[in-house]
Amino acid sequence: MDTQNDFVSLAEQYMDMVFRIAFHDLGSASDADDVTQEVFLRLLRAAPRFDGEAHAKHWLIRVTLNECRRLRLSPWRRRVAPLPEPADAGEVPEQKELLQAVMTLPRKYRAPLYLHYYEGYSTDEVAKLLGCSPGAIRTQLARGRQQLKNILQEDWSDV
Amino acid sequence: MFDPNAYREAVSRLHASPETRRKIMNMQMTRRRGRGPLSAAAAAAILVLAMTTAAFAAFHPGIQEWFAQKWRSVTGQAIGETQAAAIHGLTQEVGESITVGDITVTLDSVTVGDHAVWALLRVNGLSSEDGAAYTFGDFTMEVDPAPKWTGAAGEEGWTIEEGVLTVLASCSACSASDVEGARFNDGSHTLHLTLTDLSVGKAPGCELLQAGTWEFSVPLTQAGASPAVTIDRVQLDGCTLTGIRVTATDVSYTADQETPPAAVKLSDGTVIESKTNCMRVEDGYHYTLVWPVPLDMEKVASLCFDGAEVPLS
Repeated sequence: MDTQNDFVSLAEQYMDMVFRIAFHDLGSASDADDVTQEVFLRLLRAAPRFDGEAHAKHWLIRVTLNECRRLRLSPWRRRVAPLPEPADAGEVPEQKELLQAVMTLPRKYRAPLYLHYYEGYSTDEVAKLLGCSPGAIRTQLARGRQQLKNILQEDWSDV
Repeated sequence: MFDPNAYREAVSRLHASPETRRKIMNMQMTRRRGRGPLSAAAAAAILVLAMTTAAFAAFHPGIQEWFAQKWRSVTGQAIGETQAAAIHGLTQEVGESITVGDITVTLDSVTVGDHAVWALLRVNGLSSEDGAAYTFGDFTMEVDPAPKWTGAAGEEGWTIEEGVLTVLASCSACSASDVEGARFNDGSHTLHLTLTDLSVGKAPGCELLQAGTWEFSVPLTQAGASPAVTIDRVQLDGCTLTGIRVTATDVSYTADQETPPAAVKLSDGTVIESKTNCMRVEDGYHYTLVWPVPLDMEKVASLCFDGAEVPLS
């Protein structure tokens, strides 16, 4: 990232991605906003040299995941654990319901789900990003899908 | 049944808040004006080092050489003897080494102030050519007990010469000085550094050079000579500042509204802007600004706030 224009370009292109990863990891929009600010602050300060778009995106994802972990481990956050916040999933009830169901999954299933199904990374690539084996990622995706299926069926049966 | 298309559609409606968007774009604008950005994000500090090109001329520099080079880059001047002595007074020699496999990491020394700490590390056992890219999976720098609010953390700079990687890293707190236990140099804090999994090459194609963890814990001692200038209350144009405390490493104060970050003016007219700015909002705007290099307090003349000047004599 050599110029300030590069920073603006990366911020415009990846700000929502950073926010969405943080939201999936932390389950809180306000925490995800904090992490998003911190990630781009770090980008501005570090001004790393990227070999291309994929490298920049990879760097941002890694720093985002680290920032999320940092926030999760913070004693301050533990003391003031926020109440669950509803996801801003627009006005379509089915989408809101689906996103809320995703957020009820165990945290370890949510980031793989996002990186695989939204960002389009292969399971091998997700494994590298998250520091897990590809087999573990495939297991997490399968269990996440199964739990989602159960949750959504329960919701329908409640109606 | 999980429908990936419905999921993608739902996620596409998630966006960072307009306030976050504005703050991030202001980081850009702030930097353009030559000031560091403000951050109100909380907590401890983790950073990832991605080192790709040589950045420092000296051979295996010590912490004094790092600060001397930084001072020259900021002011265009050589660091003075009294300032070097002040830095020496804030610096603890550590010299603790941990070896995992072929890689030895040494915590050379730490320089500690009210709200900032710098750590100089050396990594030995690298076989790659100088200028290669190295990355630690995690590089965690935490102070225990953790400050309620932690400011920025990151590498200050690094160099690699003949297989020895030298890194200067720092972290800061965003705490009012009048909070008990808020100062890193009050004798009650310990610095914890954790580095994991050293890789060579650039992500995503980097190669794991040495798996493992290097952990250091260093009690931060009370600085021998850390003079401070304090001012209870200052009225600026439309803004009141209280609890101002200026030290060799940083300044902290509380404002009744958001203000531009302060700079410090030295007796020779040199203006030093902070390297990191941290603001938190809690019954006022609490600022902690860290200087790029510890200062000689004998030469600090005033604080500057976007045109207004507060004498510190």
